[in-house]
Amino acid sequence: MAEPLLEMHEVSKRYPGVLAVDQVSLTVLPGEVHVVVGENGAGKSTLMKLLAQVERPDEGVIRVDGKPVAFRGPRFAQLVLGVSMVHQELALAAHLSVAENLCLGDESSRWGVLSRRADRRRARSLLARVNLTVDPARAVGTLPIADRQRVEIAKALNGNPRVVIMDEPTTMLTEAEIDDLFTVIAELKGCGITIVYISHRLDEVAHLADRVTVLRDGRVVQTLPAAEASPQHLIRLMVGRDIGDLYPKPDVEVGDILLSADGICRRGKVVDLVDCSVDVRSGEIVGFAGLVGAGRTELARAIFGADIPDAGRVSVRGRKVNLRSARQGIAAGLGYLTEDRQAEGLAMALPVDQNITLANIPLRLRMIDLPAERKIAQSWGNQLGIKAPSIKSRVRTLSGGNQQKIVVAKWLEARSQVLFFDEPARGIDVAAKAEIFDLIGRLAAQGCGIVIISSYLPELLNMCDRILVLRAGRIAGELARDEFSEERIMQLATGTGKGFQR
Amino acid sequence: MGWQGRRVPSPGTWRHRARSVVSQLAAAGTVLVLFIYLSLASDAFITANNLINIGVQSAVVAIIAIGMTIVIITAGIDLSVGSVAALSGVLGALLVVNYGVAIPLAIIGGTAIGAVAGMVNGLLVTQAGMAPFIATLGMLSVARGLVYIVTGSVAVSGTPPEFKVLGQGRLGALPIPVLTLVLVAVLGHLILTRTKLGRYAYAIGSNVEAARLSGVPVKRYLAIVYIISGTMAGLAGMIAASRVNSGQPNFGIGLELDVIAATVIGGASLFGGEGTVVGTLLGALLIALIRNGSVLLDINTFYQQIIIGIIIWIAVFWDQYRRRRAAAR
Repeated sequence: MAEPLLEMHEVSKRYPGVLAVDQVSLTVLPGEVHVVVGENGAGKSTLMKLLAQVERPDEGVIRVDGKPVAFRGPRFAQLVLGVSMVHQELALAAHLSVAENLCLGDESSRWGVLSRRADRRRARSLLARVNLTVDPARAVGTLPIADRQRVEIAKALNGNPRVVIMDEPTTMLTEAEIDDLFTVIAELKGCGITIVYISHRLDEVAHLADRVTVLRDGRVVQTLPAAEASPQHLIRLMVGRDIGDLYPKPDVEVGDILLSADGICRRGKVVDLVDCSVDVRSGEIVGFAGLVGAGRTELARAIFGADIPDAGRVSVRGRKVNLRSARQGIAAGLGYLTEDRQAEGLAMALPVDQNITLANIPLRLRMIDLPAERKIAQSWGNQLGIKAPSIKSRVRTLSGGNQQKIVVAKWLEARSQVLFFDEPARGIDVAAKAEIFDLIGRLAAQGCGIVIISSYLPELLNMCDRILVLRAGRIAGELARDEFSEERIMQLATGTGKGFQR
Repeated sequence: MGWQGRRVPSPGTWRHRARSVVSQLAAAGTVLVLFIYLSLASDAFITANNLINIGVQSAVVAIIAIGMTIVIITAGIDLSVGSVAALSGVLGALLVVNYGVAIPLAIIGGTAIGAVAGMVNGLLVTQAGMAPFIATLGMLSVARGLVYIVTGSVAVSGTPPEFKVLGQGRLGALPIPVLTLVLVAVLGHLILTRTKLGRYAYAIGSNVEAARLSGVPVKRYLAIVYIISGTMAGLAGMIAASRVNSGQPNFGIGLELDVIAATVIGGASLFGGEGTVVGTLLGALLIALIRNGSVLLDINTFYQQIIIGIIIWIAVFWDQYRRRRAAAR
């Protein structure tokens, strides 16, 4: 076996109240793609921040080429040790140009005057290494997410690092973009760069990994060769027990039409919706598939009333809805669980109970009925299995799965009959994911109509009765459950199929 | 499954309430320490006259600060309160002096001027989509300009003695400004904790998009919040005019800073979603104590400014520290 390039020996990191990384020993071999998996909160990101010297370890030794290294911060790690990191939440300055971002902190200058031309030249060569052709003068904020992330990776290549750490780089990407990213990773590996790749998506392991390390509760459970790492085995190691079916879809008799949206059109910033029609029946789970930017979220928001459509009709239980605002949609019985809970779904600073009742506050004599509010929150908490220290805990302090359940509780409390779940499993660990999908199945069984938007096809293929595929703001096709296949969906989504137009 | 409610007491119990009061301790503790110190350091401090004086002094700032608290909870700000208070004061006085309007009506009229200014702020923020800082900065300038135009920058005097009741009168032993403050505080507290308006203010400040998607009519409630702030500024302006029995065109210059200081010391966050009436009251009281104590101990007024600034730093620092610790738990 080759000498390890990186070695962590009994490294620990403590945050106030949590031991995030607990006596971890880990070796990274030169030239390998080393995937680190684990549930949210298992300590993956913290561990990587220790490697990249973003955080200082409390105990333990980190060696590079067998020599213990001093802690001097991320710049030292990247430029001297050759260990750089691509962070999960994109850390780019949106107002600065691509070139300015790439050279940030290390600008070329002559006598103190910035040399834009040199920076652009350097930017171009970095961008070329990640197969990205954008104008280096363009503001990063104007780029699509996938390109921004590519810029972030290019930034990590500054100073020719030997190890690039990537923290869940695919969470915001579509399947096609993920394939592109994997190509880039393969090319970097071909150049002799060692990759440490954090993931909680187990299918990525098979694509990428030479070796896999599983973390649980801040400790290393096991490091194993990729060949021995079947998804089932990894889940067992990650969770510490067997998880039943990840997508428990119940058999439900599909009933009457609950929601009918007809000819929805809306000019949008990203995409224009053109003549989109959707029916959702009681007990039915409908999927919206498509590439990012195809208009899935936009369509859900227009039907719900979060964005006002330019044309089209929406009716719930045969009654026309006057879509002027989300308020009307809610009153008609619609609920929308946003893709980004933190930015759009929850009031993170408010307690659990206030979030649950936000769309339907119990009043008594025009004052908020606090005892009733408490009872409502308590009851939803018990029914949905929301785990929180108390109903007065701030939502910010809870896990993604529990936050998602609180949003569900909010809509159920608002008597929503048709629920749009926009990327319901994003940022949620495996066990909570199974719970959320189980909950979705139960809601359908109780007669709710469900729409799921997801970029992760297995979720749609397993959960849905019907899938609508969007492409460039139009509904490119509709598949019934017996026609489901990843290929069909991708053909429709990319327009490469032959005449599936309906 | 369900609540793992062992370590943290359930809400509504005395322990929970005690805990939420404890979180105000930074301001409350400072007020207490300062109070004890001043009563030892100066014989003139614990006298009925002086304590009443402190109450009256803090009333104007505190009343405006309660309106400001609601604005700040929505992640907004109202910089125009000082100018608006002056506008209300001089127009209220003018109504009496020039137009012979009955004094209670003039008080209501002056306060209503504040409400109108607040409504303009609210419309600028919600309809024109301006940042609250900019909208109310404009109002700060416009209202002050109006004050100088209508008064010719001369104080409006000649009001009858009854005009003084609001600012100098007493009901039993208690000064009317203090009673007014108590009334405003109780109402403000109820609004924030027990009405949709209050709940929506916190929700908008915490996450405006989540609030909108939950069916909260964000624009309507934001406009109401600025109207409340303007109204409080108007009411306080009338009290201030009544205290000096005239409409002073220079009243309230820089007052917004004291008001914002009071709310911030009281635990409100300029990022929204946080703030309480009790905290703001403590903040206003703290500022009044510092001013009063400086006079009693014969400290140069310039040092007051420095002390208040440092207390703002300490209060905010303490608050962040507390929050970080709570988040880590």
